[in-house]
Amino acid sequence: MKAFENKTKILCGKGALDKLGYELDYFNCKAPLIICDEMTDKAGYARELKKKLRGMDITAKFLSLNIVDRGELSHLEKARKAFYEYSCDSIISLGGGGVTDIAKALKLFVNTGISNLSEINQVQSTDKTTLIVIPAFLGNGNEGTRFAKIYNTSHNDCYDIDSTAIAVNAVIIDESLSYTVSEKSLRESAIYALGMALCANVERISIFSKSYACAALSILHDNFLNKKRYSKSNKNAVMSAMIYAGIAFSEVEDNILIALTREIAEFKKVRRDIAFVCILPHYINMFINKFNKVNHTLLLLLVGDEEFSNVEEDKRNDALLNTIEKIYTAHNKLYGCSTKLRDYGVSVGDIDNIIEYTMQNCGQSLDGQMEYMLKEILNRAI
Amino acid sequence: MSNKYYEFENGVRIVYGKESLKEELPYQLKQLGANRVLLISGPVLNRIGTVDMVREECERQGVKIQAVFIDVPNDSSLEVVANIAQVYLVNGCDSILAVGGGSVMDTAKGVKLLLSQGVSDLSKVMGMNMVKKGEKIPFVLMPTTSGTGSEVTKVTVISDLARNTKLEFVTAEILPDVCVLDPILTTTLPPRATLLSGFDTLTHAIEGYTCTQKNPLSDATARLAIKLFAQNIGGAIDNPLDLDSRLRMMICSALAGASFSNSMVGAVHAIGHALGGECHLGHDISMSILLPYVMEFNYDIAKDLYGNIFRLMVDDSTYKKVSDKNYGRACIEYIKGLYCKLAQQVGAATKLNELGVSREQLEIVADKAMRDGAMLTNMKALSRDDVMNILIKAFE
Repeated sequence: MKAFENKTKILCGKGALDKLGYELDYFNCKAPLIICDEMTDKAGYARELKKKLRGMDITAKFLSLNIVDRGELSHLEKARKAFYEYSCDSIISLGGGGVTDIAKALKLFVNTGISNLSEINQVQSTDKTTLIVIPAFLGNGNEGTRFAKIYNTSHNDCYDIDSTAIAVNAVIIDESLSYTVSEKSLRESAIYALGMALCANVERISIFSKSYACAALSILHDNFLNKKRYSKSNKNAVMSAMIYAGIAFSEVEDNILIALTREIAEFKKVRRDIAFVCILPHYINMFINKFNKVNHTLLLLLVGDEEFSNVEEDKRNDALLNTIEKIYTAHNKLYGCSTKLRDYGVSVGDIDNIIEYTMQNCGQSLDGQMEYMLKEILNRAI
Repeated sequence: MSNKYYEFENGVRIVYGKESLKEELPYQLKQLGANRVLLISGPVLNRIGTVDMVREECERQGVKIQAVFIDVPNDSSLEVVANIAQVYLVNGCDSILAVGGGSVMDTAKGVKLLLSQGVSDLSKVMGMNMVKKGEKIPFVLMPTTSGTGSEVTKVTVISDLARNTKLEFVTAEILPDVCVLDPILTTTLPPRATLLSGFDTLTHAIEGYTCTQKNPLSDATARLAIKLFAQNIGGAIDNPLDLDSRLRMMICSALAGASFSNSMVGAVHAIGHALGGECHLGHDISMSILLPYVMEFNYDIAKDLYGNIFRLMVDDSTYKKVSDKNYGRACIEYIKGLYCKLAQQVGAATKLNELGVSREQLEIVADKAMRDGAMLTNMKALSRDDVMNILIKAFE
């Protein structure tokens, strides 16, 4: 038995932001709280949004938060106060991943009436508050998912929210909100999106989720791979690929790849998306025979129909690995992007500890074969 | 690379698998807060016991079926929708469960729209995106064909018998909260119906993939649907009780539905609608017969896309045998050949004249087809003469 659910409406492309008014109208919303981060504000995107809303029968209130990288409890509290103080009826997030997480957590608060995240598992929630996400820059892949992460830095703690009650009603992906992105950031995001889409395709998720992963790979093929310069529409497309890959990837259950990524991120303080990107190709390489059935689909999506047809059937696994390696090599050469963990402070001497923590947190025992595989993956990734 | 605007929405919880009727349907209804369910279905499904099977399973697991309506006709109408809405209100129902094919599901969508918008005349809200989010009414669909894809689309078509016209409603308001795909409900579908509904699905996928409103997400769902179709249509026809093939065809139908619901369709549908209106042909047989001829018309513009479709439908050895890499042409011939072979096997028509359509009617059909909105999103613009040429080729 399988299930698929993603109620997020996607609005993508040139002029997508112009549809915001129609979406609010459909949901009978007239007083949104628009939460953004300071970087988005300084980039002029909040001003852009205000212009779009002028002339509509909407009373929007803006709240700019000093979110640098991730959403904190203190930000959430400010957002909650503002929502009730201004008598808002809906939530819009404008900015990066941290703002999106705050907006999702706020939706949970408003839907349930709780004011403390420690109570989230004790309440039932319905999806009655509209949440629209407008990613700025390139997003982080979480825009269309049911997950959010809120940090409590003062207690060195973090709340992981996993609930359909924070489902995003609509994501608006407009090219006017990503054109300031540097090409280095674009490449980093695109590689991460590629990794998530590849991983989603090889794991056991619903076929409906796989359609999002396949869409992401097709978009990246057309807008990222083999390109050296990126137009506004390329950047917008990469942003959409990130979101679609994120939707598919959110359905992947914990596996060795995700567990390793988590441990490296926490143990060695490497950014999680970077750790993931570094490990992924070696993970696929190690388990390629397990993924045999999907490899042909992946290769087809990465290289296109014509090139795919020129590869003999029994050579497709190798062709897939070579293609991924070429993509990574090109990525490494341009703009100083690295996909080697050693460049992020991880050394061969860390391997044993990483493996030990990974297996402990997975609740699995380490047999000889598994240990060998993990060491191989990490050695190659470092 | 252009950055054309598009939307994609698939706001249905899709639950699928063998035994999902038993293991998921009552659970999903309870999760939605359904306490007094109106069960909508058709007379054939009632006669063969499907309605009783669903009702008994729900009640066995504590979900009350408050009322049942089993008289949905093949072609739904405003009157039927209004009648069912009355049954809902009179019996104090709080949720809707529809079990059936395209007509049952379309009718149920009309009922849901009428009730959630609180209108007495559905024609007042016809058109595209004419309504706002309405009253919450738990709404579950269980298809018994594969199919129209209606279980995941934002479209429903209801006849206005008084004005002798069909009304189209396009809105997210008619999407069900949940659709449950249990292959056991399609095992009673005869081989002929399996073939025709399968080709209806294929047409949705191909037109979704090749229309002017295509986008990356509708393309991805269409491609998966096409691949599943090719891998499973034969199995579903040869062995009607093979639950694996049946399930994959249901998934195929839902994927194809998601594709065209978020892109559009084209000339196959435009001409097919006209054939349905003028000659009273079933939607699925029209799609099945017309598809390769419209593909031939679109060939010079769509040949690369048809080549991609061919890649998805055949194995490596068949693909490599194509001379001069003329994959687009090979695709059309493959689809035509596949339909003819399977049609012969199950006794389905391959030409319009086998279905009682007369040559004189083709002229009227061409006129009607030219006025159909789906013409505007066909990959290649058609003149009336083009439509007549297609009809003549499909005729005999």
